[in-house]
Amino acid sequence: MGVNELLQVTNLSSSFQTEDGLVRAVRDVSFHISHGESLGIVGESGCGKSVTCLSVMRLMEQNGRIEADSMRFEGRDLLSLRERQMQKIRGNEMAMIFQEPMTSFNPVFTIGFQLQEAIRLHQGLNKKAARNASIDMLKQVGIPRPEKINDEYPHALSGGMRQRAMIAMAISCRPKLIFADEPTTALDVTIQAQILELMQKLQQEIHTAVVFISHDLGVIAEMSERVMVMYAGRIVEIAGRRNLFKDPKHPYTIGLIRSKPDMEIESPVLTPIPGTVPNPLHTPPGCPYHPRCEHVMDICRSTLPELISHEQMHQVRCWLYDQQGAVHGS
Amino acid sequence: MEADVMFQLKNIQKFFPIRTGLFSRVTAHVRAVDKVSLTIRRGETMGLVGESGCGKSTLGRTMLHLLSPTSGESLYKNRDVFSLSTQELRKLRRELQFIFQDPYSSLNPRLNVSEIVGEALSVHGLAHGRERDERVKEILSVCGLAPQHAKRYPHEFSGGQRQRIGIARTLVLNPEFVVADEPIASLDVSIQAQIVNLMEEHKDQFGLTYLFISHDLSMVKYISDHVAVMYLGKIAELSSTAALYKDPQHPYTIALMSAIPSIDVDAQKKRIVLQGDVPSPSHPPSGCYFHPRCPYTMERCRIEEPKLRDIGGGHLAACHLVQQGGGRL
Amino acid sequence: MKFIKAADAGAPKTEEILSPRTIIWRRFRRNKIAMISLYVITVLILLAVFAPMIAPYERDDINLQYREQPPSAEYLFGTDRNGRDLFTRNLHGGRISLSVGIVASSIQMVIGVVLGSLAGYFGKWVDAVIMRITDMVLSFPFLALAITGAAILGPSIYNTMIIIGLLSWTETCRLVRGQFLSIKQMEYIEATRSLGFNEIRTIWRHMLPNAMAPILISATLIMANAVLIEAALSYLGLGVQPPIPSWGNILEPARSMDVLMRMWWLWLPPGLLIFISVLSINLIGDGLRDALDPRLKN
Repeated sequence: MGVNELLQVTNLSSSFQTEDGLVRAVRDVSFHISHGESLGIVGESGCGKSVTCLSVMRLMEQNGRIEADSMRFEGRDLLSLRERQMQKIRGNEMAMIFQEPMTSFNPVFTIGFQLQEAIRLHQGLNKKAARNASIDMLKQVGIPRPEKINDEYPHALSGGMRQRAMIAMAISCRPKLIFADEPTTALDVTIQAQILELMQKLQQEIHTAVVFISHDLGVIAEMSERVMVMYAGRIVEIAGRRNLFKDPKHPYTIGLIRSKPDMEIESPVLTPIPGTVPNPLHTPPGCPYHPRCEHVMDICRSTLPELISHEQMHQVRCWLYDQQGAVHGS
Repeated sequence: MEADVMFQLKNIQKFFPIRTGLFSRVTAHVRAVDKVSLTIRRGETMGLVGESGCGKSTLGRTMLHLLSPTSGESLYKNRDVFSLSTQELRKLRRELQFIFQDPYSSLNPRLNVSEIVGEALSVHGLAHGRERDERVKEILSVCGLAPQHAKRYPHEFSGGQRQRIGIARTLVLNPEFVVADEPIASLDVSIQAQIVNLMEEHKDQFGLTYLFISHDLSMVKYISDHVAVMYLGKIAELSSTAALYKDPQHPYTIALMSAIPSIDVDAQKKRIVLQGDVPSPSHPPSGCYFHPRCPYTMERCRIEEPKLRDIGGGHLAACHLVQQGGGRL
Repeated sequence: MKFIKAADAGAPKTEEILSPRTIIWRRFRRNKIAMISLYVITVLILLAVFAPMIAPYERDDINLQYREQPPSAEYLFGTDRNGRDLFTRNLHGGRISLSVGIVASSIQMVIGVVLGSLAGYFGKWVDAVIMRITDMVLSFPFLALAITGAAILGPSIYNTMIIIGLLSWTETCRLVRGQFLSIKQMEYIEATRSLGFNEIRTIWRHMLPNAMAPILISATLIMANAVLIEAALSYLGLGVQPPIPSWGNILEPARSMDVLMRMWWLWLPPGLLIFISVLSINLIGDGLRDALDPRLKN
């Protein structure tokens, strides 16, 4: 943990109340991200990857509850900030890109109006300067005819163009950290390729840290230097991209990789993970993955393993590995 | 016609009218499927890939006459599905089944699993009463569900289990041919492989023929014997799976394949990023529909529409460049 | 087959089978106000059904010696101008008022559901014709037409039911049509086609049950409304005719200022009964709406 830390989250837990009971969406999640770094969070529906980001931005729904030992952003404690101060950070220093940009734009205002509003609010430019800045942003994200698109309403844009506009909105104030929550899931592969390329280019240009959330291992492999795998609200493995994909440790990570055919890697058979993703209301005891795990041992059913360092920068939460990194069992 | 041909589609067109104005006059057409011809052989899995709006789902629905066609023929065992009477068609439905994309909206929430799966047995007069219950339980276990699930309602099941129920509903009729329309698109990654493997097993067990519709080229590669790539309502390339993935010909297929992110962190992939969006199917471009986005556009592509032609070994492509003899990309 | 067996690990946890109906009923039961309303309306209906057995006097017995008596041990709700026991007449009045409500709202529901489902399912010209008829019926001035109708057909309990029924189906029709339009988009309806089911089965077994929720809610509101309209018409002398009592025509003497000011027992009990029954029906409707709210589905 160096001095270069941009965001440092320690033991974050988030829960929310539903009609059927308390959902503990995120449990004891700790991670950090440095300036300009890209961190990928991968996992299936309900694993807590989105809630983690919403919690850091303090955008949880009203019935949500966040607890953490600490959550520091550039040395400031996000937990103790007032809502007004938090609003200043959001959009200015931290931004978010969502899966479906249609719902994140207000349909009754033009793209330009909404971009300019954000720019004026955070940068204090006058109307004319804001308009120019907004057109510049649209140009930067590769939107053709930016002057015209600036005056269009969101519904007039295609999915890919809307996502570009959303990215323009997110980077308009040069944030230090961007959360991108499944930004390409709703898009076709050829459009996804465009957006991924754009995001890589922009990240280099403006030197922003990006937390990239996806269920797609391939997208994560392309977009992140470090990868965090989540299951049932907990981190099960964190490693550098290379280590994670070449030498995955946790049976869940291995299972995910094996259950999806890859264009580059020949695989004659697909090996699915048995069972289903656990219901967040009834997470299994012990290691939450144990009912689906092929290496399940007695201890897995009763006791949750710790997240331990297997090698440098490679942490895993599994009883197959002990503190020294030796392999137990079969 | 050869004996092993199950389905032969000839020049199928499906246009959706766009109505505007006070009197809902038809001002234009969305050319969702435009002159598609395709042969599906008994026992094979034909993969149909393409991006959203390319007409792949519309083709799957039209060929079974779930949507009424604009023109063309759909020959199932030499009988044109389009010219059957309502009664004949209803009877034939037992043999031709459809698996839906969304496991949440494809099951009636007010019926229990046994009713969902068994209803068609009664309707087609195949089994009633206790025999029907037995058949339902049998098919549920084939689909990886327990017999005691029969009395439960869809809301108690996860997405993957619901898709299993949907598959059981089609298999209970012992069909010959199944169109699977993006059956795994809305499932979690770890569940997708379960469903695909299940479908593979059933194929052997029940002697099924599949049309597998998907936008996921890697899954299609895994499950299909032949693959057709669609773009803007037309087939761009059609070949055996091995040939297509080893040596794709159409620039669109090549770009589509290169766009799929891989977890192979060492692969030095040259990605072709196509510029622009897919054009609207109500106002398709002139000539070759792909020419505005194609990196190899020639003058001819703007004017003349390329035909789908065999470029050797049953590998078909609709591209002037490829057809100009040996001009493999 | 290894993975297939393991797939059962994610089977539903609860032993008990939760049908949609059970879930809705459980949610409804949790709503105290709706449950109290349900009890109240049940008691009112039971009283109406068993009125002849409970009532201390014959419905139309006149006792001219005891006219306009205030409530007493002998005459619980007092007597009216003709010396009839008001407790008896209010019990019998409930019979009439509530059955007008139930029958009228059943009539409108049948018309509304049939026309609405035809319009929603078949669309095109069927829809256009039905929707234009609906627009026409909607633009009739309701009370004026009801009054005219009563005047032409002659005021009677049956005519009251029919008039209310014939004039109030439009809302249900539009509702059912809207529901059908959205349910038609669901893949399980497409599935009925691909499985070779005919239209009647599709509409009856697959669409209607899924459209029932809002129909039930609106049926309660319309029933409450029918009770009110019956009361209004009878109060004006255009509905149920004496000597048959209904809550509305028991109220009738209250048109005189004298009665209103001096003889509260003539009008307060029927007024309160109308108020309580309409309120309970509406609150049951509210409870149903909360219980059926799809956002709360798990």
